[in-house]
Amino acid sequence: MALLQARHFCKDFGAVNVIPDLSIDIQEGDFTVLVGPSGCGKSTLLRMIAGLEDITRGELLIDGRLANDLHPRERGISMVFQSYALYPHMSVSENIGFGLKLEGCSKAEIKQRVGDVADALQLGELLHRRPAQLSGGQRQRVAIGRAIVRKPRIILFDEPLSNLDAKLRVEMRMELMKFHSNHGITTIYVTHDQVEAMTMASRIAVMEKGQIRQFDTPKKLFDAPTDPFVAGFIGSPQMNLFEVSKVDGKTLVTKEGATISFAGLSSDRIGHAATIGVRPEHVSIGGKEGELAFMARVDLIENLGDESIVHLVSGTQKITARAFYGAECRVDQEVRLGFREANTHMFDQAGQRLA
Amino acid sequence: MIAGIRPSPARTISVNLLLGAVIIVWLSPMSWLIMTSVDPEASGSFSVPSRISLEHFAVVLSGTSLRQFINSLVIALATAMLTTAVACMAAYPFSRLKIPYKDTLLWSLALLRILPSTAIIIPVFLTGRVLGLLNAGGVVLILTLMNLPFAILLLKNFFDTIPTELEEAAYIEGATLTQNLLHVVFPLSRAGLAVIWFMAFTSAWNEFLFPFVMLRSDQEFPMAVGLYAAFGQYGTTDYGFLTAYSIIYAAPAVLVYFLLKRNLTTGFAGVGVKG
Ligand SMILES: Nc1ncnc2c1ncn2[C@@H]1O[C@H](COP(=O)(O)OP(=O)(O)OP(=O)(O)O)[C@@H](O)[C@H]1O
Ligand SMILES: [Mg+2]
Repeated sequence: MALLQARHFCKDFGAVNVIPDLSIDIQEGDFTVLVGPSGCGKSTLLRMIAGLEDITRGELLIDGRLANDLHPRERGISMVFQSYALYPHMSVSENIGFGLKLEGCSKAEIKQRVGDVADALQLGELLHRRPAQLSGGQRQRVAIGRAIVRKPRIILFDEPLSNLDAKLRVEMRMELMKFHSNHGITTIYVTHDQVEAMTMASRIAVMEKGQIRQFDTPKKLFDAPTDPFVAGFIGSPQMNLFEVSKVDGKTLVTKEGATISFAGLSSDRIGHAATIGVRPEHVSIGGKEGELAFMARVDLIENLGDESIVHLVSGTQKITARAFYGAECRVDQEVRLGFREANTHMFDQAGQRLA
Repeated sequence: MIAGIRPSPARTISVNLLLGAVIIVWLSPMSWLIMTSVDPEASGSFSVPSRISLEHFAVVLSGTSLRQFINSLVIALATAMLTTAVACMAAYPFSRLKIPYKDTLLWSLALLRILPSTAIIIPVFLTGRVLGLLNAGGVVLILTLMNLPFAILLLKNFFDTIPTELEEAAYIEGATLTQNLLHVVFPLSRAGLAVIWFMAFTSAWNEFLFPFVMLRSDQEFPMAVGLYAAFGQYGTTDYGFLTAYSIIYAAPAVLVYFLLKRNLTTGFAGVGVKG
């Protein structure tokens, strides 16, 4: 049985509905990442799980027990905030030990447990400092220490790395991954950052407008997105999505006016797709026989050293292609583009993935 | 302002003369006060004492005047405590809850304090008489009432600067509302609480009108009223007694000033979440 189950969650802020109907099961020991565009309700979902927001309708089950009305502490949940929310007037050790003090633990026990956590997080020498005297990464570790000292069953993170600079972010990401694999505490982690999501997660939930679009392993999300939103959201640069407006024999015309020929293909599956997606790395300039093919004009070339991102237009359809060698084209050149059917992601009118 | 860096000698001298004059004007009442208070034969004229003694102080710190000193202390401390406690309890919901028109409400309450006390003394007196509050308790109550609007306004703005995330973090760790206030909100508002406490203390210590109107006897008066009543009490004015009384009366205000200063400079532990 799943450790944590959200069943038909619904959240209203006054008259505004933010989450209409959301269900998710979180398995014990998993590292679950919530991603989605800004304002889609990730923080709200996390706060409902934590107990900081009421659940308007629906049930939260932890270990199969109804937890809607439990105090966060009784839920066995702790949380790391984006701003860390360390108490500025307490030292590091007081910050970490605060929850234990509230529980009424003895001084000796608090000292012992804070010491253990500090050792695990290499905070030993910092115990007497105030948060203001710590670097960003150190504050981050204190916040984690505070979250784990009470031995929670579930830790929630709300964009914990977004205040750090790029280098530190990568370091902390690795530390968090190591920490998770060492301790195996069930984790729910909200982020904007795709790389974080893809590298850290055992499973990713992609959210849009208060709904979970797909909940799957990173590999599945990348290889087989179940709807166009997920297809466009996961992957950088974004997947090319062609919305088909009409099919005429062996050519199709997109809503943005690109004409794609699939003359060389035997299958007529393409004829049924409402949306066709293909990742930039699968679009080749030149194209081969037996591929979907169309003409486009080169608009801009971004050279990143080991790879080039080529932006093209056909009609008003924008296309991105990614070449791992130098791009063999110039700006304003008309080129032929091709991609294999095996690399396409096709969705029907209702946004369902076509098998 | 190049000339200002190296002033001419004439300029230096005239500036010093001017400063000297200012010092004399400022300090002469002060020095008169101090010299008279330690002069056993004080007459009220400006003279250097031939002998220094603290006998006037000893007189002030005994009998009725000691009683009045204690009255002042009780009234000021009680007002300060009550104001701070009530302001905390009122300001926190004002800061955290969505109350319609809350700012308008607070500012219109502050109008109470802007009215001259004299303008409301008659209703206050009549109410006090009906409620049997023409005593030190009544004085504490009315002074607290007068202090509260600004205290709440100030404290609410202080609480507003404390990020709710800190409280949420504490809540997740199991803190009740009371624990949250005691361990997170109040310690972070130390500077604000100190300002309110001292403001209430000094205003109650200095208050003349309300105790004068609401209290009946020498034994009940605080020092502010006692000083006034002591004028010409023994036929001739006893300047030695009065000056010693004034100095003792002024001392707590000065003390409070230094306490406040220390608290305000060391009190800001930094409120921001990110430190
Ligand atoms: N207390 C609140 N009152 C009213 N609306 C709210 C409240 N909190 C959040 N919302 C609304 O709920 C929606 C979801 O907000 P939420 O903070 O969960 O988004 P998010 O996915 O975390 O976004 P971000 O990535 O920017 O943090 C937003 O439209 C937001 O305006
Ligand atoms: Mg958020």
